[in-house]
Amino acid sequence: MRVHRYKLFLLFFIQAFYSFSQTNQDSILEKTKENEDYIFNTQNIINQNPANKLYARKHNLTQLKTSLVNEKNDYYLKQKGKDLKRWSVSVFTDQNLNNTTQVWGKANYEQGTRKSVQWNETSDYEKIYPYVVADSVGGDIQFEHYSFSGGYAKKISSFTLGLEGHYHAKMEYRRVDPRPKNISTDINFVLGLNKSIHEKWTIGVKGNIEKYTQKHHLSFHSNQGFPQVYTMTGLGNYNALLSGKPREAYYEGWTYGAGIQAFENKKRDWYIDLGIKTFLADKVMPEFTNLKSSEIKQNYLYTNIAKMYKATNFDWGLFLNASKLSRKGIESLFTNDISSNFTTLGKLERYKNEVNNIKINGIFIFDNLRNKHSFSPQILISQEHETYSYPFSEIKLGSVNYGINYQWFHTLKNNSFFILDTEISAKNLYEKKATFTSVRNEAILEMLMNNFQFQSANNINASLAFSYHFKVPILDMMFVNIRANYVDFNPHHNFSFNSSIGITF
Amino acid sequence: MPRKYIIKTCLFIVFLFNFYSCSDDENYIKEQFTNFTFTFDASQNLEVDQYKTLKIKLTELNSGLTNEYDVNNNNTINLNLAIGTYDLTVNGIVTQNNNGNTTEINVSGLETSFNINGTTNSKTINLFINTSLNDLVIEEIFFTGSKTPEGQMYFGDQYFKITNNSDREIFADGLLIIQTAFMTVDKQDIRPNIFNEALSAGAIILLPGDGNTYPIPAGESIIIAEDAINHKEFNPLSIDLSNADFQIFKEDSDDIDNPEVPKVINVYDKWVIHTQGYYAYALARIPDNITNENLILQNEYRYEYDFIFGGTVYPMDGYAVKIPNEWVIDAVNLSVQSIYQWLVTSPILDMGWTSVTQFDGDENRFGKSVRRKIIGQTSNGKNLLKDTNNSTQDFDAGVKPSLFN
Repeated sequence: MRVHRYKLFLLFFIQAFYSFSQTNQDSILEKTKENEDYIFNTQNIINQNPANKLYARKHNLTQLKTSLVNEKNDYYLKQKGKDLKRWSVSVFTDQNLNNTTQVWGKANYEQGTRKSVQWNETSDYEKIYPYVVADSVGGDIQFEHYSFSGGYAKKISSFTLGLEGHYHAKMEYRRVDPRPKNISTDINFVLGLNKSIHEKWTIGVKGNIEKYTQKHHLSFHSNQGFPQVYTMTGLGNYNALLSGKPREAYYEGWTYGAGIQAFENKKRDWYIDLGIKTFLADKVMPEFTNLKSSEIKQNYLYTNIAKMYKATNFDWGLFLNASKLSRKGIESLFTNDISSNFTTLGKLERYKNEVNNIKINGIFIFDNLRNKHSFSPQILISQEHETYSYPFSEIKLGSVNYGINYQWFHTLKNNSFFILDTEISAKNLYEKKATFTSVRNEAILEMLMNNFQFQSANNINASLAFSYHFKVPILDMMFVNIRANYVDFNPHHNFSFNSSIGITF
Repeated sequence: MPRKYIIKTCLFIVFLFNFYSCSDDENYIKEQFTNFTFTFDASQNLEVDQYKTLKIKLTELNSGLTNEYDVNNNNTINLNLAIGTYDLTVNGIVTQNNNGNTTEINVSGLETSFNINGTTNSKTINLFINTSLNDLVIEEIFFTGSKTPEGQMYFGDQYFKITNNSDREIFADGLLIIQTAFMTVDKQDIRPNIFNEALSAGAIILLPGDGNTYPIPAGESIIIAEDAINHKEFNPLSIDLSNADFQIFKEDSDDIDNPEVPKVINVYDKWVIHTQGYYAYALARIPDNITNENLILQNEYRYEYDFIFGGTVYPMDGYAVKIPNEWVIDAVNLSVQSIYQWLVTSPILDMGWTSVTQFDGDENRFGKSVRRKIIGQTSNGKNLLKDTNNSTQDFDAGVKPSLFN
């Protein structure tokens, strides 16, 4: 299987070089600058509709990149792990074949280790929470991820039709007890359509459908014993009947989404993006006749609005992002007539998580021949309310995060350029409340308290990034990129370092 | 023109949103509580003058949540209960009027795996008289084995400690020690279910003697060892069992024999002590007119049950030996905390269970035992052990074995 995926990756890589050989003679400097441009990357949000990818980029681009990420965290969510080491290689291309056709594709491979993952032996925590399989021991998790995506947009009359597909496969495992082996896949298709109105602005719609699966298996090699395995149901609760002996779980989910976008045709100096995504997933226990133990129903509503202005000496703009996530967890209750046969007594909506975010940021850009300075102040207001109805437990958080980003984009005389990017922000909790009742296990209570301390901690975040893009013979434009990020929780701190090197052509 | 497009597109989004909402089958409910009435009835077994005190323990099996309630001078209680599957145990005192004299009688009751989901709102729990026989009791079971200094498992040093909890001398001769056929961690719909009349024995050993060979003075104990040797020679962290009173010896195996220690008699099947405590153990005496052979021949018990796996039903059967409940003088259900499923004895013999192992495979179980609680001392200064026929209450779970002192 792994060999097969490497072949696919190689094939994509060869295809990317082929497209490079076919590309027109765009200025390598211009295309690289465009790719790194702050505004361009912000506008990318509306390109989740594949139809909108046509004309989004002025220059064709192919990029090959390898990255190393190293995180050391004092404060973290137990289920996601403490430290992270990850190596990845990716190749990406976006090509305008003619005035009416755009194709793009990406392949990515990464491997690494998440250290000290506890109370979660399953993968994709963000997708399946709170219904993870857990134990108190945990440990380091090795992972390998593969992803491939590709798309096509074609203009027909005043309409543009776009189609994009993604495939993402993950294998995560541990080689010491407890030994989870998780294989998960995502297959996602996005269909988009837009129409140009009076050649001035465009309105687009998109719909997407995604199938998610995860197969979880847990084993132990020790002949002396092993830790208790829990079927978690949210905020430290677990189903006692399903905990203990089960060693397998299967998750299957579908995501349905729809969105609408409107934007100015040429510069895209304003846009509106609205959408909804619904995620429905089931967890079943294969050892109990595929017993459905829980369900997730999640709705995610989002909007992104932006307007940019051009003044005499500088450009400026305003961006608004708002989102509302509502997640319900429905668990089945059982009666155990006999050990190997559980009868479902009923289904109860016991878990709920609501997250509301609103972010406003401005951008001020001072641009001259060789220097571009961008300042972006921002404020993010976030509210989260997580509840479990019986026994009642809740976490309520409200925070304001404000900060400023500064970017210096400098073009050198030899047509190389560098980008210095720095950001500082502070997160202040104006509300934090936790209630945990009837937690039956001290280790679980400790986990809940540790997680809450992390979630409710004020912090100051500082980051510094430097990337240098330079011309080299044959390979054209190379780049190196380093980024350091420091989060101060006083007295704890998290630190991450990210470095990458790549070629743009 | 643009406005028309916007309206159309917005209508499309609204349609999709409604479609998602309608596609949600909503075949689930929000939290639901049922006002439930329990009535406790001891009238089948005695004429009750007054229900003095009742202590009720209610456990919902999915959440594992346990709540306790006290009822005084009444035999009913109304509770607002969440949907679920429950186990209920009740212990209490009722009074009986005998010609003007009021006598207090201990009663108990048990109801397992009953559902509360709004369809019914009342239940009657029968109470039975809680008698202590003032006889031999299982004081301690050390079933887990120990660990070596290198962290390896060590077995063979398990033992049973049987104590005379009366004020008279009792002979151990002819005492049956029984391991049940069924496991407390594996619930099955057994047909026929004989729990109310007999104990289902999966393995039986018998203490030798002619009836006057092995006296146990009041308050004294005997040790029945898995291997009656000095285990310290092999594992410094173990114990010396070379002075045990009896040894379990399997004739057809390459078992260790200490010629200085009397062997128990293997009556039925091979005696293997489960190191996590999946079974119940009992002491019994057979009537004088029944030989060991006849015990097996006359009390053979064939049972059937359905094993369901992957939706397929596999008919299963098995054999055990019926030990009438009247013959049983003490019983202890052992289990594993996280995977306990049912009692494999009649609740009249034991309406609780005790354990060392917190969860299946618990590595912390080694070197721990279950020991009966001491509630006082007899007139001759011996320990008086708690014996309410409820192992949950009568035993200290997961404690240091007495011979490790």
